[in-house]
Amino acid sequence: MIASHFTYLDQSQIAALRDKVLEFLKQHGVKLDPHQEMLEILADAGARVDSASGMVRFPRPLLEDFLQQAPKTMTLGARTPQHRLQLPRPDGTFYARSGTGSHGWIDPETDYYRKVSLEDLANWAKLINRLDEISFLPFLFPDDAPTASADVHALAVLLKNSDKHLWVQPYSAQSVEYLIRLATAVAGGEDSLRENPLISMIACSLTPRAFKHMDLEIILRSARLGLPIHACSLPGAGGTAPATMPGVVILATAEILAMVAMAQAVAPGAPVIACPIIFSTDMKTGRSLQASVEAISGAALAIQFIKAAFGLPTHNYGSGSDAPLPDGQSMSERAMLTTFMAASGLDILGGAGQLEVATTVSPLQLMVDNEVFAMARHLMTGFELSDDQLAWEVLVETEPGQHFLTSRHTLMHCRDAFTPHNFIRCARGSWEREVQKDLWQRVREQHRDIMSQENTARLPQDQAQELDAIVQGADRRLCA
Amino acid sequence: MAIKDIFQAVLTFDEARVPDLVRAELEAGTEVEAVLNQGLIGAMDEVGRKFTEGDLFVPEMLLAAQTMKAGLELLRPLLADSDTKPKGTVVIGTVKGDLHDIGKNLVSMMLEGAGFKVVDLGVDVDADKFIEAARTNQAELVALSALLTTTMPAMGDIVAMLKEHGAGTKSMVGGAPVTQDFAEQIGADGYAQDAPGAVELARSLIRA
Repeated sequence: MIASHFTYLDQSQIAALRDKVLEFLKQHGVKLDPHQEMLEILADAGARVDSASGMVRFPRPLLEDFLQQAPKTMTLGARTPQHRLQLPRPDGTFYARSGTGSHGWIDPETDYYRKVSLEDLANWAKLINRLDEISFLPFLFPDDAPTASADVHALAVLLKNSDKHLWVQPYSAQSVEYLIRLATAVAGGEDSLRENPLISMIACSLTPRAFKHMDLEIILRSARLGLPIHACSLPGAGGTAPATMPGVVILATAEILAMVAMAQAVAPGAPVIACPIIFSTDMKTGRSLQASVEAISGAALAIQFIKAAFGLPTHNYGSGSDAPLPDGQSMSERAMLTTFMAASGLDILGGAGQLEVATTVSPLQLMVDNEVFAMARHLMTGFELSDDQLAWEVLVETEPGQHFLTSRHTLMHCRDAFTPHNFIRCARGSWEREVQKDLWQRVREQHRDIMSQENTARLPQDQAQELDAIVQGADRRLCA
Repeated sequence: MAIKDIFQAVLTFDEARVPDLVRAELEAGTEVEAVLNQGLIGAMDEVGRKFTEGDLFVPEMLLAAQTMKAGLELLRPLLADSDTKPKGTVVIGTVKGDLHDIGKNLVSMMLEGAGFKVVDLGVDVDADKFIEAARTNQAELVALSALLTTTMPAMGDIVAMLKEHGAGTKSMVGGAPVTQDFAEQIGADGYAQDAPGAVELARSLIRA
């Protein structure tokens, strides 16, 4: 493991920022939509609640208690044991997940843009099953499902087609019940779901400092069921947050800690992951950016601070680009983002395969991201200074002017290096004679190969039919 | 003092000075309409042009609109008494289920700056409310904003209702996930990519 991550902050700065965040929550608080049950729970726990206005302020001792209770390790479950995830990752590196909620799709054969379909989603899951670095996946927004129950349809497709952990982003308060029902059906009951949470849930603040009824409901139900909650704050610097990143970090952290507090008040020990998803604002257009240097450095600052100050697992974009195409800009931006986030100690790197500020996905980009994540995890593995690694013996034995190629030590380690799938290392002449394909053409061939094979993670037919019945129930109730 | 001083004060976001300049110009006998069109609206057209070219940024455009509004407030009672009419009436809001309003507010301010009467319904607005507001205010145009892909379908519903009940009221749509293709798909009369674009579109739709 590495000795330390990259950080902008020294201990005194961490302490000062921590103090600001807790003071902010104590003096100024957050505003909750009218959600009587959550407001009562918070009041009973000791928060200062003004039910008329929905303002909730958190005394510091109360917050410190909640932070103490919040687990610093947790498990994201899966249908198959080898896909269950211990957070933080035991080897000291990170997990990665694919993009969420995108409605645009870059077709892997034609490169044309179109809307995501349910069939695309099934293929997306099938592809991800074969990408070792993509540890879990959320659903995309299918254009061919009824709008009111699109999330329910989408989760059912993922449950039927993948045995990895699934991350759930509800689109309405009414669909939360059905999403949980789907997961409970596959898990085999609520107790089984608690023990092996196949899904974790997204709850978001409405920046700045507000919470919608739907997200309060998600926190309430998830905490009670023991489902891990990804507490997301998505501030846009200069728009919904201050223009300067330290101010953004205060705001995002305060919103996340408010969600941690809510979860602990509902169910002490409820697992919560901190997700400071930081955007900058392009002041020329008002557009949110995820891969500008400001957004990347702001996200890094938030992660470094939250880990050091509160010890919570962290989750943010670890891939993605503001470019609309999977081109050189996309590759440059996401490489910078991945490396910087990994070096900052991020526990979950999200956004694999996404483009155009997370509104579009590309299966081919996803495959390249998979490879970049593998390389980034290698970067984060660090070095042991063992006798073997120090290579003292062979250093001393090898005379000036000789070489190491035939040494026993080199023989023992000659296969250690990371072997890429699609990144090539040949010279131009070899490329012209033998390869003749650029990266995208090579990736496309690998994609065809994967998609031509059977999806071995498909849910048995009887369970799939049970899910269909739940989806139909959701359609009847939500689409009326 | 001259109208060009008012124009320049808006361009340099001199909110404190604009009311005095407007007052002075009116006292000197300049027609209200001239102060409005050449001083204030003219300046906002220049702001829109500079923004489109990338010379002015969003916060600067907002500040210019605020500055213009400081001058407009002085003219309002006089405009009510005169024959000068707004360029048109626009009902604007963010659709049901969507709470985002930064872009909508920017468009609203720019439309006001361009001389339109703007009825801003806020966020999370029911479809019926758009129709009722258009009817009550005899609006020529309804402007719909959405930031979430999940709320965009509401735009289609509103456009359809306008065609059925709207007595000729036109529609335009905008917001980060909204596209020209989407606007055409739902039968909206127009799509604007940014606030100055929305002003130009409003002008062309209401003139037509």
